[in-house]
Formats: sequence, structure tokens, C-alpha cells
Amino acid sequence: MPCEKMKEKLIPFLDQALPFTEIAKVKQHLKTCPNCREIATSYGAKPDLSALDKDEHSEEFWNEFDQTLYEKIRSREQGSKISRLFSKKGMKVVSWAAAIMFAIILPASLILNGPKEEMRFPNPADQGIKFNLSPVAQHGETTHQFVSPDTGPNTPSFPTSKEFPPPLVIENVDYRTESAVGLY
Amino acid sequence: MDKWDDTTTEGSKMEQVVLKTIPGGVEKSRITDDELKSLAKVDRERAFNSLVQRYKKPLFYHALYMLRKEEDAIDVSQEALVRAYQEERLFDEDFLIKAWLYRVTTNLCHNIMRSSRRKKKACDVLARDEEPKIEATDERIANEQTKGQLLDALDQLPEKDKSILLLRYYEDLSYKEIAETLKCKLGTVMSRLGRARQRLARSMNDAL
Repeated sequence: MPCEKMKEKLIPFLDQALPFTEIAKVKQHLKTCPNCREIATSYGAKPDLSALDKDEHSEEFWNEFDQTLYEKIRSREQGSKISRLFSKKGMKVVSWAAAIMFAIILPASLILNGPKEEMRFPNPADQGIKFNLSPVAQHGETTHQFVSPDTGPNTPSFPTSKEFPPPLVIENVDYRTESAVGLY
Repeated sequence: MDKWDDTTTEGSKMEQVVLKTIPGGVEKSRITDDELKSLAKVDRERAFNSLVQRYKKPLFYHALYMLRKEEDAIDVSQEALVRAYQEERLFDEDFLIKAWLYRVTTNLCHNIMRSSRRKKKACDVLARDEEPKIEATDERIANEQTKGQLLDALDQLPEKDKSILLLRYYEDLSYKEIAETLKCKLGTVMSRLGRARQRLARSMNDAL
């Protein structure tokens, strides 16, 4: 038997927990191998822990032990009922319930109340107010025609950025921004 | 009657009643793990009560000799049993009840020992002073000296050595059960046991 295998057999051998056939092999090896013999000697005799008592407490002690134990279980169970709600499974149930509520209540409330009216600014044209705008900004070559509802079809044409006229500067005031600016 | 009012005497009576449902169960003084599993199929609560009756003492004494403090041992063994109650796989066919219970107890003991070692460093309090108070009767006095020496020698060992020695030579767990309990290989159990025995022998010699 190689020494490596012996290391696993030594303790059961010393504890007398080896089968009869194995004992003979170990004994044979120990006779011939001083190294393993030394290890076996260093392990010493089987420790006798029988001096440590098995039961030195009264029945009263054990009754109290049981009572406290079952109280602990009961209180832990109550706690776990609450924590179960917040567990993965519990959260799944809660989120499903929320999703169902959302899916039912939201459409139901929309149907019952109807869509809310959009906020609109009053259209002056609807109220009979008419604009009669004359062309402005006679500064450059290009002028902008704002067609009033009276004069023509309501199709205002907006100038492109290239066509956009330079700001009208009168007495160093830019009316576009209504702030004092330097001379252009 | 509340099902939890099933204390030691009541519990053992109930165990006897329940054992009638298992073939050959009444003759046996102690219910085995496999019997507990088949009992759990009929009634889980009763199976758990029987489990408590079976394991409370070994777990308590294992914790007591690990920690040397009765209150801590009560807490640890009760905590292990509470966790067992909460463990859903407890009575599954392939679940190793004994190894699992000892593993939980041993780990809890290690946690307490680690934290108390930290406190000890700060306060330098001798654990010997907090030894469980046991009534000294005539019978016990004779064993006290050996027991004291043994406990002193065990206290000198590292936690892991102490727990493996208690599991093997006090609780009589098999090597395989120890491997399951400590979640290591059989070879590791042998080498750790060997090392622990060497240290214990040395420690006992020093004590003498």
C-alpha cells in the first residue's frame, strides 16, 4: 500500500473503524514504513471525550428550552409572513396586481370622463376680428407681404433666412429685440 | 390545544403516537432521519417536533462544549432548530438532516467564537470564568478533574480542530457525515482529524 493511501487509512485504523481486511494491510505497511509509523505515533491514542457529559440538565431546563424554541419559531413565522410579501414571489404578485389595476382602471376612467378639452387660445377670426395689415419695413429691397383676411387668401409666405431683411434700425434701437444696440 | 404547546413530555408522547404510523416504529426508542422523512409526508409539524426531541440535546451539548457558555449554547442550538423549521428541503429524500443541523450549529458557534475572541482581545476576560455552572454531586466530582483538563486542552485548540474532534469523538459522527457537515472531502477530514489529534495530545501533555 502506498504511503499516500495510508494517510487516509491511519485515522480509521487508530479509531478501530477499519474493516478487518484493511487492518491487516495497514499493519503490514506500518511494519515496513518508519515514516508512516512516526505519523501514526504522533496522532496518539483515540481521544476519550466520554468525560464530557451527555445530559446534565434537568427536565425543567428542557421544558423551558422547548417553550423558548417554539416561541422563537412562532415569532419568526409571523415575521416571515410580512417579509414574504416583499420577497421575490411576493413582489411578483404585487406587481401583477398593480399592472392589472392599471390596465383596468385607467381605460375605465378615460371612458367615463371622456378626453379632456385641449387648452386653446381664442381664434380672433372666430370672434369676427379682422386684421388689416399694411406692408411694413420699407428698409431694404425686399418687403414682406402679410395678407389680411380681407385682401386675399390666407396663405402667408414666410421668407427664408437668406431673404430675411436686415433689422430696421432707427435711432440706434433694434426693434427686433427692443434693446439698445450699437450702430450697425 | 395549541400545536406548539407540545413540550418535552407531550412531545415524546406524541412521537410514540405518530410512530405507530411507521412500520416497526413503536419498538424503536429513537426515530431515525429516514423515519422522520416518511413521517413528514403524513404530518410535517409532528415530524418536526420529533426532530426537535431527537436533536436538541446533541446540538445543545455540541454548542456548549464549543462555546463553554450555556446561554450561547441555548441560543445557537435553538437558532439551528428554528432554521431547520424554515428549511423547505428539510424532509426531502436526499436531504442530510444530521449533517445539515451540525453544520448550521458549528457555523453559528464559529461566528460567536470569532466575535467573542474580538471582545476578549479588548476586555481580556477569561472564558474560564463563564464556565457553565453545574451542580457538584459526588458522582461528578470524580470526573471533574479529567473533564476540566480535557476542556482546557480543547480550549487551546483552534476552532476547526475543536469542532472536528467534538463531531467525531463526542457526537460519534462518521467520517462521511463529518465531510458532509464541514463540506469537505473525506481525505481532508482525515488529515484535519490527524492534525487535531496531534494538537490535542500536545495540549494534554502541556496541561499535565
